[in-house]
Amino acid sequence: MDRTTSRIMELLDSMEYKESAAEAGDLAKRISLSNRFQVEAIFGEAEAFFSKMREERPEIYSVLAIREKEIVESAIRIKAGKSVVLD
Amino acid sequence: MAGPVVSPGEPSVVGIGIASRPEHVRESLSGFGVGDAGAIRGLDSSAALARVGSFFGMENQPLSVAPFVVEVPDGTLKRAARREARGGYIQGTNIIMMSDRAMNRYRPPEAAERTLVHELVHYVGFLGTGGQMAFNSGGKAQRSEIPEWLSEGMTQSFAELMLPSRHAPTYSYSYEVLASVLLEKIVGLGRMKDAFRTGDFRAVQRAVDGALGEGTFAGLLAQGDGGSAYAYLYGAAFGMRAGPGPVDEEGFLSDLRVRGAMRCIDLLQDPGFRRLADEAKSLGGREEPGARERLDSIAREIMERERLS
Repeated sequence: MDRTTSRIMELLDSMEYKESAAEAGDLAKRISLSNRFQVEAIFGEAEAFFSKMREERPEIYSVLAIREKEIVESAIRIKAGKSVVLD
Repeated sequence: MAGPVVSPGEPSVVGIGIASRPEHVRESLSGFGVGDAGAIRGLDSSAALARVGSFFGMENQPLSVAPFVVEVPDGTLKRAARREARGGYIQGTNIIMMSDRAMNRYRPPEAAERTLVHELVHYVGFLGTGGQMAFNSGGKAQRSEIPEWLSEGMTQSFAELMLPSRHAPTYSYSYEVLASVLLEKIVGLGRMKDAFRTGDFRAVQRAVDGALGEGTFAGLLAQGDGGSAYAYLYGAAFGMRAGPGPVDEEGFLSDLRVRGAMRCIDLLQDPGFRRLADEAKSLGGREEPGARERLDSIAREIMERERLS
């Protein structure tokens, strides 16, 4: 196995990644099921969660950034009633 | 040279709102809470569109609706996106937005071209799929949204194939690109392109399950991010295998897209590099004195770190 893949496997095997991924997945699910009155509160939670992760565990954030993007796009869809892909 | 890829007479799979003037973009952005969108100007995307059309073999099967590509102020895109963004595609329309920062300032032209091609690939995919995918589950055809990691991974890995001579790390979607390129090595580029354009992933599913075992594709779809998708697929393709597997590991690792993604992942482990990248992000689009000079200096430092890594 090459060095980078080995490093990725090690990171994904860590308890920190597993806990963060589970929480990110939970936020993604909650926001996708929310309505326009609930979405801001969940979005605020997600912003705080990812901001802390980015600051404290950037290597885990680099893997889970795609979930933050998914959450942002979900929130926009629920609030605006239309979808946008943002890169 | 690719032929024309746009024909107004062709029916599209997905009905979309057609924009042709900056006012239409303003109206659409107001729906995202952006009241004053600032200066919006149309961009000529014909060269990039021809590249995308040629990649997908659409010379004789053009797009039903031409994309309307515009440059918008960086702050406008940021307000719509609620975060930093270089480009965006408003689904259900033909509007592709590029930030003025991505197009004009602080970035080399090839980076802007890469972002534009990326957005055009999103557009082509949406026209055929509406963002949905079909696959088999329990013997029945199912439909669901394409997972975010797969959508971005395929989009970015295709975009990078279209710009091979100027390949350079993008620091975006590295994990997603690794997972998508590995999937492509297992099922073949042709099946990946077809699935992306039509949303029908059943041929991809058959190829994955045939090579790696029944249920492997369903397991892949259950992954929440590109990193875990890559680890899952890597384990299924290369792990604990006695004889030669369905994928040539050396061939996979030598793919330019894989090498670029791995270089980005390695660089992002370096706290000094991350600090520079974060500073560049926060400076991007600012007009105050010295911002441009500092960005130039950061760009030189980043290039030096890349050279040494």
